[in-house]
Amino acid sequence: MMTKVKTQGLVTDLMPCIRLLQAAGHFLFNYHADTSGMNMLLRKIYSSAHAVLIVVHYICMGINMAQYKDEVNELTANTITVLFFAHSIIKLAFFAFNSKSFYRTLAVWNQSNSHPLFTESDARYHQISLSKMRRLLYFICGMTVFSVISWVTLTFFGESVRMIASKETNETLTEPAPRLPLKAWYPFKTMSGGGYVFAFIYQIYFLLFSMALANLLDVIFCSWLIFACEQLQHLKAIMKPLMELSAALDTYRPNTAELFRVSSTDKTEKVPDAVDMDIRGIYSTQQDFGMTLRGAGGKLQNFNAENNPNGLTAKQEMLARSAIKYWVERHKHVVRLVASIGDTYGTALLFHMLVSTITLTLLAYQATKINGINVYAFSTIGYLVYTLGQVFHFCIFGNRLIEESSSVMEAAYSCQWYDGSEEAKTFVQIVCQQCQKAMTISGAKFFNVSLDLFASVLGAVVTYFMVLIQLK
Amino acid sequence: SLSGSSVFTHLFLLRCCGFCRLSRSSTARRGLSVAHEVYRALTLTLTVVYLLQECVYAYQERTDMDKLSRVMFLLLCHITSVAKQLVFYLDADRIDYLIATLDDPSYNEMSHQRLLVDASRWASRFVWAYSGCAVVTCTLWIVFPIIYHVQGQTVEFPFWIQIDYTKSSMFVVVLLYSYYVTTLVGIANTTMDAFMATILGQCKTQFTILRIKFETLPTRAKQALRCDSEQNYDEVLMRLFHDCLKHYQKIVSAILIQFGIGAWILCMAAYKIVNLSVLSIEFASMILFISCILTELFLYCYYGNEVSTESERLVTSIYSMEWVGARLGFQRGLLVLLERARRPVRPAAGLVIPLSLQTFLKIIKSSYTFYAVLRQTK
Repeated sequence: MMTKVKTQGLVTDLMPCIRLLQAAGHFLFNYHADTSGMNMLLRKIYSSAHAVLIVVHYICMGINMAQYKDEVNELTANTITVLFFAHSIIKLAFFAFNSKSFYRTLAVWNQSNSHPLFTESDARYHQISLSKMRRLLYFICGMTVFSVISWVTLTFFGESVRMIASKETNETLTEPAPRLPLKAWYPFKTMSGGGYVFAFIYQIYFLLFSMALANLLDVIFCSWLIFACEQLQHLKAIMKPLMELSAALDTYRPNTAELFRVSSTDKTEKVPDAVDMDIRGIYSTQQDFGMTLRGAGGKLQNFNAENNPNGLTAKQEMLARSAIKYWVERHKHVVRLVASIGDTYGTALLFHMLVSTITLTLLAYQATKINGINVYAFSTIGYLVYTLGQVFHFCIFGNRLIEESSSVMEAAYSCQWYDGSEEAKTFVQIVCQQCQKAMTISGAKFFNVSLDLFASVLGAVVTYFMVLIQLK
Repeated sequence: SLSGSSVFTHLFLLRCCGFCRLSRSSTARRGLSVAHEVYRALTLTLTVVYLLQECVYAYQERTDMDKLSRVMFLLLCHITSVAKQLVFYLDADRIDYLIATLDDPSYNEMSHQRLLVDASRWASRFVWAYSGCAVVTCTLWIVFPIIYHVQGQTVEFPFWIQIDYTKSSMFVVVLLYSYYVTTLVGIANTTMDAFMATILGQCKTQFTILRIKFETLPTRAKQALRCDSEQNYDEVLMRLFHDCLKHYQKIVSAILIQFGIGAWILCMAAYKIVNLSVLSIEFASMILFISCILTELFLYCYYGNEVSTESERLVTSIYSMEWVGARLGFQRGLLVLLERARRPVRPAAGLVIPLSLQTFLKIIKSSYTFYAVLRQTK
């Protein structure tokens, strides 16, 4: 029925997520097989309809907030809810205005270089990144559905009332409110009957789609980071064979068959026992002693070659020289990808952190009013965990990127660079210079996305909570 | 020159108002330069006298909270402005030197003309807009006294003056005096801020040009070879590389000219925010004043941040050029350069506080904390 669209690079890897984004109503109109005018129009109408429904319900919630702004408790609770769903509106609008840079980032990896010696490693790490991206997508989708289900379930517990402070007697009265997941103003009566059922279904739709809108965009961002991290892992893994290869270039008579078997077994590492200071235990193989490449012989050396000083044919020599070029070009490509990710999503992260900071401050205040295991406690804790979870989601992947990119330097140092050619040694030096500053994603240059950010947010919430408890 | 033209509008405004010295080359007639010196001294004395008048008024009205809060904010603004004027007055030599260095040929290469032209156009539009806002605000401030006077109500000016201004003629004189000085001070504040921001912006543009030069270094060497095939590729590469190095050294030495009042401005901004919130003042005015302070603070922090980030990107630009096939000597030269480029250039206020967006957030957070604590203890 639908012809498969030809995709390459990141788009192929992220296709399930992209389809889900299109289903949730984001203004994502590329990557379809069939781009006839009629179908595009239908898709645009679909996305606009979702956008209109969600914005209308959001405005209804805003009207409700304005109606009850004199009650402090109601105002705080409604503000938290409004801010909670502000993420969805902001991300919807952000994607609509910034879709070009999203497409550009998705297209960054369309053409990538390759080298015959390293294709196996490349494929392996690509597969790892694919499986991680899938698992992340399933997890986030599961959490979203679970949140919606638990929200709806919680609606049926407790009293569905509003707390109104009476002006004359100065005590809180309860006013009956419809038993709905969200408090919103509707132009029709929703206490019972047809209006109630319609409002309930509308709210379930709103909950599901707005949470999906916000979370799926974060999933795209984190998937990009997973991809970049696995590429860096691949580069780290091929550093050692690269050094051995370059050693073949300016030394004499290596055993070429042995050399071109890129070994993926790493039996040579032996971690030294902390108590046992016997150094001989660490260097246990001939390779570690470095006797294989110069001097005393070993299985990599072959003294039987006659005419060719390196013992390599022209094709093999070209392969050896181009390996360094492959590594550097691949690393530059990763740097470009990360820069593009930062440019695309940085502002969205800034808005997210801004809204989350205000939400968490108000939630800390709400948490001081918990007085037992009841609906109020569950809902406050639910909001807290969800908001902190959203922040944790992108902080952890941003942190992993920082760690991976700065560990490339350690990988460069821990391979046997002293046996490499002069060219390889200078290459290691230049790479170390570039990798000393870790690649970070910044929220429009205001902050860096890392676990430090999450720790500071969490610390701030706990501090506010403790101070407010004391002041009560 | 192209990079010098970015501060052209700022200097024009400052010289017209009498804050900045005329440039050496344009003092063709001694008489004109002497007259301008006198004008500059007059402007400074006028603003200082107005400031003293406001101080006396504030002291007189120290028990009336409403009037005190109105005059306090204006007083703080004027103190900041007088401080900036003093810097321009006493340090005029250093400012002239800074402007002269902008005309250096290595800052004005024709191949990057478009970037420089865009930067100067943006700088000139910005200063017109920013100073224009100040002038419009001052003009709006005299509208209300005129209306009240026409309606016959009493008008009180927020500074000490012994003349009786209930009569129309004296009222007009005092009004014009107040309008002239406040507009002058407003233009001084905004134009000087924009001037320093433009200098920082020019540094950022130069860094961008330098990055482009590094990224295209091997391709330019190959093109040069095509034109003149007698040269060696390696020699051409090294020559272009030296050229880029000298450019980099010049930019870095230009930024080291610090304006010490940057630290003063940051402190005053934080103090003003806290002060304003504590004094009782109506909501609309408070929002207006806070947004003014925040704009000034943000301007410095944003441009300082731009310079830092652009100099940090230099390492990535050098890395992304085609160095893989080049001669080992060239690669080792790159290494030494990378070692230096790894330390980003950070403009600092008073050489201590780095101008960056993180500083901006810290000042806002600290001000809010002080304000919350002060409110609790009231």
